[in-house]
Amino acid sequence: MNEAIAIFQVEARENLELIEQGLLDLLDRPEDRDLVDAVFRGLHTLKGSGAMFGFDALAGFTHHCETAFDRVRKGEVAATKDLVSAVLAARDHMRRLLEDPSGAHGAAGDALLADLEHAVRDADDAGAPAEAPPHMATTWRVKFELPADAFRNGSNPLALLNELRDLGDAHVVVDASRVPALGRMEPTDLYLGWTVTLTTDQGRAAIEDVFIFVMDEMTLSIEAVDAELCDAVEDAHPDAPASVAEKTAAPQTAPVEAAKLPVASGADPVDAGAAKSTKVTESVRVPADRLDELMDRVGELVIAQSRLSQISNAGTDMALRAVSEEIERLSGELRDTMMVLRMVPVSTLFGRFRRLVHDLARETGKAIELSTDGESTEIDKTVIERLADPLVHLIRNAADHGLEMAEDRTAAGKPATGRIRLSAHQSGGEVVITIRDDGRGIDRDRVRAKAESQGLIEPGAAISDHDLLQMIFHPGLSTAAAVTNLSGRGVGMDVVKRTIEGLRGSIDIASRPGEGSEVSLRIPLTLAIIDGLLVRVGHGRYVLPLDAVEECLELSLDEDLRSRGRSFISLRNSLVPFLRLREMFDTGTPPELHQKVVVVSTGAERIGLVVDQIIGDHQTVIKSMSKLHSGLPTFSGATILGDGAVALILDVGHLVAKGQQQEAQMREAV
Amino acid sequence: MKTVLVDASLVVRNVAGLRQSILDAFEEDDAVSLDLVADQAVDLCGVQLIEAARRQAQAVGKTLRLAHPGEVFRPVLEAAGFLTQASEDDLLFWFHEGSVQ
Repeated sequence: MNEAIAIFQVEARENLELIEQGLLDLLDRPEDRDLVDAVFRGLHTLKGSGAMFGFDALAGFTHHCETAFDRVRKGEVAATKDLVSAVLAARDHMRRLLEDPSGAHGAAGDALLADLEHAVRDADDAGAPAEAPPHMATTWRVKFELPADAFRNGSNPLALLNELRDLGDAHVVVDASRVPALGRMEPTDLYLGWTVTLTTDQGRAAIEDVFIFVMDEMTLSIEAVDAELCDAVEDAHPDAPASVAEKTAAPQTAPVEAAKLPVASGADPVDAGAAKSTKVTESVRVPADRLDELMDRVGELVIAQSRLSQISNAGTDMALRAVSEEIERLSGELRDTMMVLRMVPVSTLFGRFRRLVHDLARETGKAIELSTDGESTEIDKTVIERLADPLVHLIRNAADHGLEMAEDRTAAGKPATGRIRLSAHQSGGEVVITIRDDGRGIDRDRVRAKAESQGLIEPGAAISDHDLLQMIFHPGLSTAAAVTNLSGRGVGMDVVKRTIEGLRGSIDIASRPGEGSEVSLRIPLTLAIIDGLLVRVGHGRYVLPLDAVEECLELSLDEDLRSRGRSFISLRNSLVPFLRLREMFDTGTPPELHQKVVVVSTGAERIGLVVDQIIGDHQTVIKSMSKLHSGLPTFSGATILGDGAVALILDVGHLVAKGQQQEAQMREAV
Repeated sequence: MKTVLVDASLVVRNVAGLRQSILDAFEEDDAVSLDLVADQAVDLCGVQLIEAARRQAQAVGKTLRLAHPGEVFRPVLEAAGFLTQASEDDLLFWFHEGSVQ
């Protein structure tokens, strides 16, 4: 049962996501009936399934919201912004009730329901949405089949038929042609279908309403039938109106309805779900940790395979070599497939920000519009999870610092609504995510003043525009004049930069005064496997991520001795600090005669790492460090080499920071 | 004539057991009669099961009948649209109408 509850919670979370998306869409398209229905269905499902699994507080609270929202569905009140926002806030409360069913949330829930009731009353006072013109009596042919498990999941076809009868004059004919012989039947499956000839002045939407809770899985076609023809048929064949009408009446456009609604052709029943913009593909839900486990196994297979190929290449056994090459090919394909399995579209990430922007707009009193682009771009699921917080911060920044108030925008000749644009696209082995706003741009004078007051740059020192903008990523530097609860606490941009670099990505910023800013994040597609440069320091072997390596130089013993005390090498007229890894790791071995310097960089900052030997490039399956070693900042992980030995992966970001720190200390000492 | 006594309500939760009883009865005899205890609850799933049993009888050349006119089925049959275009055979089977039983 616990497993059933866990599954319910997963599905309820997804349902809450859909409700949220539907409500946000409704803010843009308050007249969209499909959206209203989708939200209502979501609330109804949540209420029903919540009660079934013992989430009584959730079911009760959702029931109140559903009742309030039902008035929107019936067209009694309009989906005003306040009303939708109240339901959004209530949705957040449902989420809390789902995660913490035993918590005491009663008072908060009551307050939210009061807000909702208030919003409904206001919407009611503002007048119902424009009344739809009265429908003429139209005859419809409604054909439907429910899914096979309808009896088992509690759907009641008779109740649906009775609801249709309530709409007008209904002529119900069962289609029992699919009922098999008893020996071949699954007794609780539903094999029956129905054709209902219904004459009603309620319009097509009222008919669709009957099926609102079963629409997703059933086949349904609703077509207008020429009423006069139907009458004629009924007069001639009082016993069999529908069947004859079916043969003779071509679908016609109903006088009023057809002007507004597409009429489905009777030839092929419409899949009710097809009207939705989201495409349903068959999929299997797999817990993320199983995927991780599978990735581990694939990683181990890659490692074992590289050991096998080392052994086979060392020997002369051609048969062994052939098998080894075959396994190499297969494990490579398996690894690629595994990578694809872990990929999820960034839409899963972008979707959350619509709500964020909606809330920010309410908090700041600014008009903000969020647009997204490239949502189908895929990234490794682990990367997606770790990108969420930095992106939240960047969007908050854009809304709070970047965008101006509507009146300031209008005065500056811009549209009153500020725009934030999120886009993603793949470029090589990276995904580039940009956050662009059309606000005031970064105030360079303020950044400079702050940087000077913090002693980051000399007063009046010449500094390139790029370097000045990079100052924003410095800890403690914030340009917000007032500390709001959105941003401006001076924590954030530095943390964003660190997080992105932790993902082996890079962050860049561009800004034009008066026109807005753009932050670009370049993120590697996957965290699980990297191309590395294998080096030796003392007896140990280490891996450096290849994309951080700029160049490799030789460091003769003479040069090494000369630079004692000041660890700098001259690289094309600039001094680059370097770290002797042999000393850092305290190998206790004498330096090689010809040591190597590997120059690594993160963005604009470079340092050299002195190693004893460069072994070569190495495809690295990243393993996380054990709990015992997870606190070591110098290493970002470990990998297993072809001969079974462990090599640690160096954290370039940390080493560069350490090198820069060392340089600063040197300067102070001079 | 083999009689199958239907002494549980003819609803979704009981149809699996009844299906087996009817199939067993067809194994034993060429004519099967379903004897429903009076005022038994019936739902659409139960009606569908009996429809399937009629098809089974037809397929294997056996006969199936209701021991008593099935007035208990009438509300469900009407609501589900079975009687809108019911044939003589249907009316004879369900209600013993139109022919001497």
